[in-house]
Amino acid sequence: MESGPIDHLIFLGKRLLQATLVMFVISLIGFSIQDNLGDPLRELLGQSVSEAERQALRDQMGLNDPFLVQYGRFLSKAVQGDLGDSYFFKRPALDVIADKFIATLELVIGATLIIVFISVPMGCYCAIKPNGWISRAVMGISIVGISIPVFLTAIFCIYLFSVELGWMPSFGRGETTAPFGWESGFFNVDGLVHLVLPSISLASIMLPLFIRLIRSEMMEVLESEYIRFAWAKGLNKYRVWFLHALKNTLLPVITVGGVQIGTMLAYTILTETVFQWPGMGFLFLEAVNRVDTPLIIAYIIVVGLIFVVTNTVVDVIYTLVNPTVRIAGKAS
Amino acid sequence: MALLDVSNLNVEFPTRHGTLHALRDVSFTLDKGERLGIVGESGAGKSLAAFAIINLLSKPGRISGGTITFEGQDLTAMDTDALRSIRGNRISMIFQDPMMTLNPVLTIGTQMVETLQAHRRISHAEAKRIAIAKLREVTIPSPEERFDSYPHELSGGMRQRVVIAIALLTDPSIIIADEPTTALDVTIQAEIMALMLDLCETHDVGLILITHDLGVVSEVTQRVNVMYAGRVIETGSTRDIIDAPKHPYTRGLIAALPQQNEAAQRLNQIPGSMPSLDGIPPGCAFNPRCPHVGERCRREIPALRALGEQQVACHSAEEVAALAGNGGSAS
Repeated sequence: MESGPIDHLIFLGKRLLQATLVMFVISLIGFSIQDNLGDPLRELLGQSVSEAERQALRDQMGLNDPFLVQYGRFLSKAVQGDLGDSYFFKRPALDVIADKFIATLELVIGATLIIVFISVPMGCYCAIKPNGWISRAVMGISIVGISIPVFLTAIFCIYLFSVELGWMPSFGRGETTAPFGWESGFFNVDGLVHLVLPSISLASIMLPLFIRLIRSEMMEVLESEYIRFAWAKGLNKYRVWFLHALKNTLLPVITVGGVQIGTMLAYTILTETVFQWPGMGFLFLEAVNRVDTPLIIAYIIVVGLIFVVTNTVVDVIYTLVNPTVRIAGKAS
Repeated sequence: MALLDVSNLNVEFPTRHGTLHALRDVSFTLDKGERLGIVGESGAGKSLAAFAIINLLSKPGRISGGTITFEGQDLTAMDTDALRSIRGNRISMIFQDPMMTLNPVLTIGTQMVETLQAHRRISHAEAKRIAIAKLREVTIPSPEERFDSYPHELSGGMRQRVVIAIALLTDPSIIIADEPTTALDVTIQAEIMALMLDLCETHDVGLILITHDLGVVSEVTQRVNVMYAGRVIETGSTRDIIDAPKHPYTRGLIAALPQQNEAAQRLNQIPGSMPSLDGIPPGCAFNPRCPHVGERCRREIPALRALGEQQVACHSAEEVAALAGNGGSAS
């Protein structure tokens, strides 16, 4: 009956295979859109270069080769970590993205922390006291929260906290320090202060969703027989709520959470643009404006990779937390 | 004085369409080490009566009248903390479906140790020792290993044994078992029932057995309450009621039991079905289904009255008792 370490390895192997397949498809899609983004030579060379020279450069860059040849070349370089050079920065696209990655990661971590520390207690409270006025208010506000787009929340935050109240900076990343070798705003007050408004804006779209999800999952769990049995055993209410009920509540939430972290990356494009946050999303928007094709493709692949990695990690975590899944994984 | 004395217990469910009276004037007692059966169809209120004792009614149900005296204290007047010290400690419960009763994400050991630690100042090691001893007592093989198992690693019968072990952990004086074998395979049912009976006898634990199975009741219990539409309609010693039922409903239930010595006969059944709580007819709730129904039955709710050794709530009880033939206890 017990699932051994072998089963875990098989499970992990399957997941990694799936992840590789997904990455392959993403790379194919990412690569095939490049022809539809306009002529990169125009951006590179401007108007004053003759047609003959253009063709020569085209041949030199391999842009005239058949699609599959180009893709094969791209793929073989990609697995070695080379996604081409950015036309604008004249540097490897991956390096350019890596420079901006920490800034975006800070934003995602900030928003995730806000979501976790607010949605779990609030969701639990609303499930335990569903008819209290606080729960009704939270539910009402969350409906509004879901319907307001991120850029509007961001602009409202800037207006209220930066313009009217003057408590918070309205744009930029603030001061960064590098105590562990990479530049981050996490380790000084100015950097953290700059992080507050963008994190809130980014969290605003997911937070109501998670509060509602946790509330409905927990309400369902609280009705279950094993919770009734926990009460019948005479356990104290905090143990029933925060061990027996919460642990069962969080299992489905973890799965949704993994997917949503990926989705949050998409929203960083909006948040970073509004707050002029020098991250990947902002970089991507600039790259689109400049038709910097290698950078655009690299961004798509990096984001796809993050998506796939978080989902795989979440799946693995899920099997570790949920004892029943280990058997299911074995049976399949 | 009885260990448990339930007197005129009323339970109601306030709904948007008015208040539903789920239990009306339910009274019974349980002595130390006594085994009482509560029988009836689904919806008769037998589980409610049991859950009401430790105030575990599902919302919005509430006790609207009556007293529940346990060891001299009125449970209905107790605050939550005082009641919690009785739940799972002095009065334990066994639920119907062992597949749903244990928390899927916690080990058997965790769910046992926490029960002991909720009621006693006890170290984890000591609690574990007691838990494993109880697992052994309910005949679970290799209890030390099972202690660290999750519920899904055990079969239904094994899980119900674990639930019984949990119920016994704190040496309670009463165990309330709500259809403890209904969800199990037929072959396991007898095993579990025999185990429960044995454990109740060795530990001198009182048992309230809720079931629709009169066969089980006759094997296990000493006294029985028959319930219909939220009322106790007949009560007495199990022997008397099985041999000489005096309520037409009880009589119908017994007639519906399959007879082993009469092969290939159609089972008798009581025509119609029990009314829902919002559709209880005036007079005796059983009157639309009753073969002995009279004019009075449609007007007047029969009170529980002594007739021979048992008590019965029926206007025509004497008539029914006479039909029972050898039921000579009708005085």
